[in-house]
Amino acid sequence: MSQPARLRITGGTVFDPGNGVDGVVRDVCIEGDRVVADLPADAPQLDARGMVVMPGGVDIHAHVAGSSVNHGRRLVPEEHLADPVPAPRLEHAGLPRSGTGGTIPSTFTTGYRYAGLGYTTVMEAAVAPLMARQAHAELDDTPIIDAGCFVLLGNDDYLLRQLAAGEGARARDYAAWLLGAARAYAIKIVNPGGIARWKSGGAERHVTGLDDAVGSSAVTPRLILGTLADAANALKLPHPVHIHCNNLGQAGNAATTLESMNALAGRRAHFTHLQFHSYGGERGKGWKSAARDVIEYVNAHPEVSADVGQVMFGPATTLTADSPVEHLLYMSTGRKWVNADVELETGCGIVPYAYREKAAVAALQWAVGLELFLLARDPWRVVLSTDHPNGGSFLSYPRLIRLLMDRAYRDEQLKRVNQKLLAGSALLDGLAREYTLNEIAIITRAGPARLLGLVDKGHLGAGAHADVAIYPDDPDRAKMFSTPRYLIKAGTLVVEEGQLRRAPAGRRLAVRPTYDAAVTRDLKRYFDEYASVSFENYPVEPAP
Amino acid sequence: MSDAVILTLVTPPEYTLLADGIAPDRLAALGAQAIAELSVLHGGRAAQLGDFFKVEGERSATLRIEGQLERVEGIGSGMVGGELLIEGDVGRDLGVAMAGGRIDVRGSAGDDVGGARPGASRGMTGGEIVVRGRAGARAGAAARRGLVVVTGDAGDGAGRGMIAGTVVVFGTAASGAGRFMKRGSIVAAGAIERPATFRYACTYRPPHVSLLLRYLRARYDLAIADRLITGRYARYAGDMAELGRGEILQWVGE
Amino acid sequence: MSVHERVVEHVTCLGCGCACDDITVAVKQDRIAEARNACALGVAWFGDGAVPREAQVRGRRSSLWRAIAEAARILEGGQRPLIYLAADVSCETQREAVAIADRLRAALDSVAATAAAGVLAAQRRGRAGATLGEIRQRADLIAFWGVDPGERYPRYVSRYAVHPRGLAAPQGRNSRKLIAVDLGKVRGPADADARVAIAPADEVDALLAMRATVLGRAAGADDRFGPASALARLMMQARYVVIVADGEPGAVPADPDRAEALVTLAQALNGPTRCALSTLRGGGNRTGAEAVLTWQTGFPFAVDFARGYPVYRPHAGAEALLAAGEVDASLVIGAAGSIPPPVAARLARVATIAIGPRASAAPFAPAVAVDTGVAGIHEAGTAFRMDDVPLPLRPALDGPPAAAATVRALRERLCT
Repeated sequence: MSQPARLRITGGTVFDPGNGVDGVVRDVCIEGDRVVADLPADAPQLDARGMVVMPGGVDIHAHVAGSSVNHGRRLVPEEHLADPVPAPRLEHAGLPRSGTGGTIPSTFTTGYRYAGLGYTTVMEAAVAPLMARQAHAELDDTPIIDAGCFVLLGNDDYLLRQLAAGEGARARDYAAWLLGAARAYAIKIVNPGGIARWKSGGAERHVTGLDDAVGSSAVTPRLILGTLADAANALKLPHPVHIHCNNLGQAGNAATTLESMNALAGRRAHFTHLQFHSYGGERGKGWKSAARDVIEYVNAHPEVSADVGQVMFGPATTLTADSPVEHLLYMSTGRKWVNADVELETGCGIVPYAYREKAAVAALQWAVGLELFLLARDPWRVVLSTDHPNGGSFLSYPRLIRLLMDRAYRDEQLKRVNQKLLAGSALLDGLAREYTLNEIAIITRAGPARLLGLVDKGHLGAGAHADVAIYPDDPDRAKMFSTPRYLIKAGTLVVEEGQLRRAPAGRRLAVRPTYDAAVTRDLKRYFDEYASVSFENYPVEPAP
Repeated sequence: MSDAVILTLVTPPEYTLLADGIAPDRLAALGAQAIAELSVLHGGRAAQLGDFFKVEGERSATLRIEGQLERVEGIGSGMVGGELLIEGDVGRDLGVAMAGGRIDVRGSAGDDVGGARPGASRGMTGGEIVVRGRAGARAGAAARRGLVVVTGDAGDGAGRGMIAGTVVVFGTAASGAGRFMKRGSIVAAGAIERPATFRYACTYRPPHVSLLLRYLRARYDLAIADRLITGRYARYAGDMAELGRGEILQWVGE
Repeated sequence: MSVHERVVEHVTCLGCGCACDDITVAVKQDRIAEARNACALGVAWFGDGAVPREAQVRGRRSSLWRAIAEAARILEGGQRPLIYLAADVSCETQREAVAIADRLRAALDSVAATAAAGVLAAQRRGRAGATLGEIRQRADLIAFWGVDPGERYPRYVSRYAVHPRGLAAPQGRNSRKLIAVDLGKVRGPADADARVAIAPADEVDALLAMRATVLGRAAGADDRFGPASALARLMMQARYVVIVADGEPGAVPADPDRAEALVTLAQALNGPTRCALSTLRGGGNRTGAEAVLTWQTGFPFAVDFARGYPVYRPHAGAEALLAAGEVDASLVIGAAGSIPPPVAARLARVATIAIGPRASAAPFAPAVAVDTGVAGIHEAGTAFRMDDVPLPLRPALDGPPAAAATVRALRERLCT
């Protein structure tokens, strides 16, 4: 290898909130795969005059790879037939690959399209440990982006046993071991206890409250949340426990959401796709927005962070480990439905869906998401997501950014949507706020990187990963953020003059916390007793 | 601008000719040259429409295709409007996932005429298809709206999985007709193999059938006997394994 | 321990779709002396591990390098190449094969297409499924729908679904009610607790009548379906129902609507109770081919790259394209012996390159043959169980060139 590639990005207007740089014209220097303070005058230059320079985008929560995503892909061939994607014209560096799009694109297309938005890091938000090997294989076929996996915990039989036995320390060791075994980055809880109950059959299929008994009377969603939140913090994981609350999508679920936040009061925790958990009203008796109550709690509690999970009008695929919720959606829509119970661990439910402006609930969901964004006081703690592909494809991020930055555009769309359930929504009272470019840089880059503990990402200070997105300063912000002029990933010029030119492999982000090895002996016994795969074949890669 | 674009098959394809880009609404804006240059796949090899068809006329939303077209697949798939007249027998996937317009075949059609794309839960969403001959399997399958008429026999699974819309078969309808049907109507002038999950409702003279048949006689000049137009039909509701809001209307006499 | 004598534990067997990963393989003098825990199918699949190690061009022994060069020449000369994935290759090899199909704008199909009817039904309607271990944990009523797994999936009953104890089945077999649904001569297990006989011609109607019963709609007065409806009512009383059906073709061809009727019945049962449909699939990592094609192209089988991007054409899979005479060059990757006879017979009529276990012994004299190891015996990697659970492969023997490396070499040759 000769001397590392050097590049000086000159004259661009830089938004680097992580370093307090808010729209300052300055150079950004890159050497190899890192940002450096300066370069000799003879270093190659990239003229970014009149353009906006930001760190590469960081998606804190999306579903892009793994068993449940692939079940979803297989379920929508009509979407793929309708959105064919020829191979890009790449300059050397590997074989360019064709693919298909839709709400769940093929793997190569997923990588290309994220880069096409200026994104360089994506978190796969729901990986069943038994299926982790597949998630990593798919990510190996997803170029350009660096990716990490959130491993599903909180409905797994072994953990619930430890809680029933009051073995908090063992539960923590188990979580630590599992993160390594699944080559994962963070702990994800989905509908704590709710999936276990759905899988066990019987009359009561749903967990509806934080104190419902899950199997043993000693085990409740409250205990699951507390134990895993403490585990994540005790293990000093870069990202705290990542929580999808109980009662997703139900009228009145804001009460459950607030109760969950209270249950963890004072402890670091991230609450994901908050929009789906911020509804007022009563189950069966109608809906309304409760975004104000939820976001006010978040605003007042610095230990809490969230991503919004905005709903965007158009096609989506609802895809989650929260299989009981998908069964409800299947019953109400009669659409295609996949349920896949995963032994001893979790579930998977999928229903293709479309959010229509004229549909009352979809309009409410759209409004609730925007309320959360516009009422959030600290952009560092309330960041952008659509829970892709649940609230809409990641391809809709640029339109979402315009909704946040352009009040006229937002109000014009608000007029078109079904108003039936919008009474009491702050949006109707006319929220004047318009996000600045600096705030957009926070909720799409700096903020997610900080919440994920990715110290080398989301900023452009010396030593940071050389992931840089350069956009034309187009007043139509939707257009601007969907057509980066340049994208640099780990020092490689990936997008050039708006064209994808190179597709290097991305890196995998993972943690391997230490634990008391006694847990593995107990796990070995447990696997021999209950599991359908050998303990030795369970980890994605053998322990070091 | 001509009255019609006329494609005449002059070089019969040796292999399957995939022509799913050929639909009247897509040709409406094109000149003869551009039409001849439309891409097709011949046995998986890239080719142009003009390699096989003589092109007459241009810039018209009326398209006539003539010749022995059994090997030509996917004509009119996804079409949203215009008139498509086919003189001769035509291959599979005619008018698949069609959304609007009219297709009139003076000949037989292959499998999935007016049907759904593979794995799709929804097929045709609008428009009309008249096949003056036999139809292959799954005619009108998963239709959400629209009309498919077969003057001859229909293969297995006619109207299978319909969500709404109407399928009319004047010949015999083979097994699986109407299976998985949620809503919609299958009108059978001849024999039809009814799934067991269709339940007899009544025998009557359905006004909507007589209206429909009169329309077909007027609009398409189909020779439809009065005994069918004014006759009695047994109504079977189904598929009871689905919503059960569909119907098979079987002619039982004058 | 010498390389000639060793014991490898936790080996995954690809003899059938059960992919049991508890096999202990004992090696003596570089031959497999024993495959402990394996069933008869598994023992036969492992054999002694002896495989040919030839590279051939038109029947003549050749260097690997020359064979790959000739393979590339034939494929690039083809106007309508077909890439076909047979059994006994890893997902890593399958991923390389799809890349070649993409590069060549080829038609791409796999041995998994034998289960096409079930895949298409699952695309139209979805799935109600569970991993095999979940069936073991939960099932209290198991209905074997015209299949006795003992024949083609020997350890399904002993290792997964029936005998082992589970969370909700503390007594194993005795915690579960087994029902055999006999379709004429096609019978369920002999030791079932109850049997229901359905005339083969009535099978789909019976399944739909059962679904109508579950949905609370009288299907009609037809008493042919009394027993089936009674079975449906029995299922509604259970806590977790599993319907076991064979996804692979049997002696008698199945009604194409059967798979959709099974899926929709299983889905409907998730109202009054819980239910999973367990579709039995063959071995050799064919479900892996389905998964890999899906993630790389968006479609599980019968993919056509002729337009420069993947198009789904289930009616125009390998067999149909070969029958139509479209294909003028083909690349078969995997165990030639696993290719369905109608496909294999027609491969003999086109210039075919065979890369995989025992390629040099392929029934259709290939123009180029490269013997490779068998995934799971000579070659590491990943393979999928019938229920889409990915498992690691632990080779016990050194073998001929690895399939993954050989196919990668061909791909790199084609991409320069």
